[in-house]
Amino acid sequence: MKSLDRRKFLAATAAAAGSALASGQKAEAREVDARQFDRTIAVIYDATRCIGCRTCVAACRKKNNLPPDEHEFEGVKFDVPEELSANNWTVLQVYREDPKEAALEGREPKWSFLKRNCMHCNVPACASVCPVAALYKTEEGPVLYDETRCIGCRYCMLACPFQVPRYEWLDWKPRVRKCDWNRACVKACPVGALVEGPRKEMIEEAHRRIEAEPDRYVPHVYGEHEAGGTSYLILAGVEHEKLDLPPLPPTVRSSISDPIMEALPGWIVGLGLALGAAYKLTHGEEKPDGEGHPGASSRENSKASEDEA
Amino acid sequence: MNGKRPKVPVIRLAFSVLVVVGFALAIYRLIWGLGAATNLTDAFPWGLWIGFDVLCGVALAAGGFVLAGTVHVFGLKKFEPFVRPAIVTAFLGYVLAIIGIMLDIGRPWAIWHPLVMWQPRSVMFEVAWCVVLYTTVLFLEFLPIVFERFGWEKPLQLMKRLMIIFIFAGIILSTMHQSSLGSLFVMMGHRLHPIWYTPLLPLLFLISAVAVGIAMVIFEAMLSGLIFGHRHPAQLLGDLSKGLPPILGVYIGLKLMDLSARGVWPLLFTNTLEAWAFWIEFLLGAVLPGTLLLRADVRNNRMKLFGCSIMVVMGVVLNRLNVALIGMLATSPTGYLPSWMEILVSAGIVAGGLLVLSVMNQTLPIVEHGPSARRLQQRAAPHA
Repeated sequence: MKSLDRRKFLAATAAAAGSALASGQKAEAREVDARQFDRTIAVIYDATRCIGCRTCVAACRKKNNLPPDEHEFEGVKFDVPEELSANNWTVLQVYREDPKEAALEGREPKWSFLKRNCMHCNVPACASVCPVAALYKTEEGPVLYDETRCIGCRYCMLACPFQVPRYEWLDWKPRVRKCDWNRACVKACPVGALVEGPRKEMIEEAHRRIEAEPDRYVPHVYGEHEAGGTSYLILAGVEHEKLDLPPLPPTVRSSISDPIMEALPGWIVGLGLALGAAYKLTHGEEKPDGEGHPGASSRENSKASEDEA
Repeated sequence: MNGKRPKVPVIRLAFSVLVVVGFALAIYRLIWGLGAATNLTDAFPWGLWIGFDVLCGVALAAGGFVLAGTVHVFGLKKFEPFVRPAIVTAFLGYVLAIIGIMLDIGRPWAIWHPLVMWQPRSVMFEVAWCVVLYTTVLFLEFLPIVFERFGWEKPLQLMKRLMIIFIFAGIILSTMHQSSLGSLFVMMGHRLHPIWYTPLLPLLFLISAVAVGIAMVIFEAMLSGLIFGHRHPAQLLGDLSKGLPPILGVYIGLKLMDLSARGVWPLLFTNTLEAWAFWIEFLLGAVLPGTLLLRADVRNNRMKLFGCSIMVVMGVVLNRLNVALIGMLATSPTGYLPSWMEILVSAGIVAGGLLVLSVMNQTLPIVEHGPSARRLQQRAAPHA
């Protein structure tokens, strides 16, 4: 008898420990282990090597068959993509420090290019908010879009912390548009400002460059940890914040809404029980003449109908 | 009540014109795209149709589950006369919200996708399912009215026996849906102004929806009373309004807790659009009506009660517009003001809803029906 009890006790303890362990793992799961993305394809964009030639933009247009973003200057049209749009999947921005600020420190104003495009997050917010999984992370790394699933709710556009997804506003059959990671830009870059490889190696390479030339870079690999990590890694000579790259915590974006969704079953059960209890308590022993207090309301009632007549 | 009848056809005509105009503009939007009809941009992807038609439409439809729960679950049977109008309004509100969604989403023909292409981590997925399921439940709760109108006794009895299941399902789905509309915005910390951005959004949306559900029922009973003649004793409406101060009290308390916990008080005392919008929403929409309704003379005076119900309704409408539109302005380089087409489409949808409601009020046994109509007559009898 005793041993049986003991066995039961042990089994119960094991079960409890097991579930505790499982829930512990669950909590950890929100802190995504970046190692699982080590072999996804990543790209380093080194702003200090970039010469702003926009060959990458032209290559992107050609590969994806996107029309130029025409702007007219004194009668001549140029392709001047200013910001990301349905047709601009990548743009080259430029930042120049306020000369007065630099003069105060007795140096030339710093400046930098920035090639913007989809960051291809390890755990993308766009994919986590999409109700139909039209946006999804592939095993190789790219975050892709399937227009045959999309309903056009545009939640992805609002949830992306980098504000990357853009829309075809003037189309009766609109699509969400963004970089699809075909890396035409990487192949086209004439100065090696863009290099691609497995994410782990790219991160190591980025840190090697910073270590080798600490004066050339700000000591931060943007995208290594931001929002749970991205496949697009940015090295720059000026602070990333100044380049309009949002400072983001290393937590995965969906960790904000995941707990809400995971709490739902509990809510359904709890509210169901509460309603059931209330119903039982108020309807269990219903009196046949349970008519409240007819005196007061009937007086009001007849009065009201007279008033309005 | 006869003296006021001639007004009705004129209003109906005006509403019909709005519906026709809205319909034409909706066709225009479907052919030429969202960008042609709306002022939406990549930097401001959700506008009036989400902020007003969907968020406000669903919130104002909360009376359905609140009244059904009050009467049929919590057993406050004296409010039974309000259940049917509330359910009809809720059903219409949801149908209108669905029309709004259909026009707002880029690919309305794919609206059924979330039902088969699952992504259960998405709040929008929950929203989609709740809309579908709760509209179905509301339709089932609405059916007995039609059965009663045509005197179909057998289906009526069957529905009555099943009704409590629909009511339970309706309440659970409603709480999920009302809160999930708030949950949508917890992923937008980088866009939404800190006055409104809080992880408590789902809870705040739910509680304010319960308040506005009650306010809407009172507002409607008063409005239809003004137009068609009063059918409810002022005391009964006053008693219903007793629910508002405690609910608004909890709401106000949560708001204060949230603002303190996140340390955003300094932002509320700046001369900004957001601060003003917040104070109007908070003071006029929640604090003032919540306080006034503590007084019996306010509750039992038709016009004062009407005024308070309007304040609560406007407060919640402004809250939803603050979260969806005004709170999003600061982070958007393009800004946003709804286009005249967006406004007219929204107006057309509302007008269509009111039109259908007024026709149903006259043709279906909504306000006075079966047992409760008889009871009202019995109560009135001794004094008549």
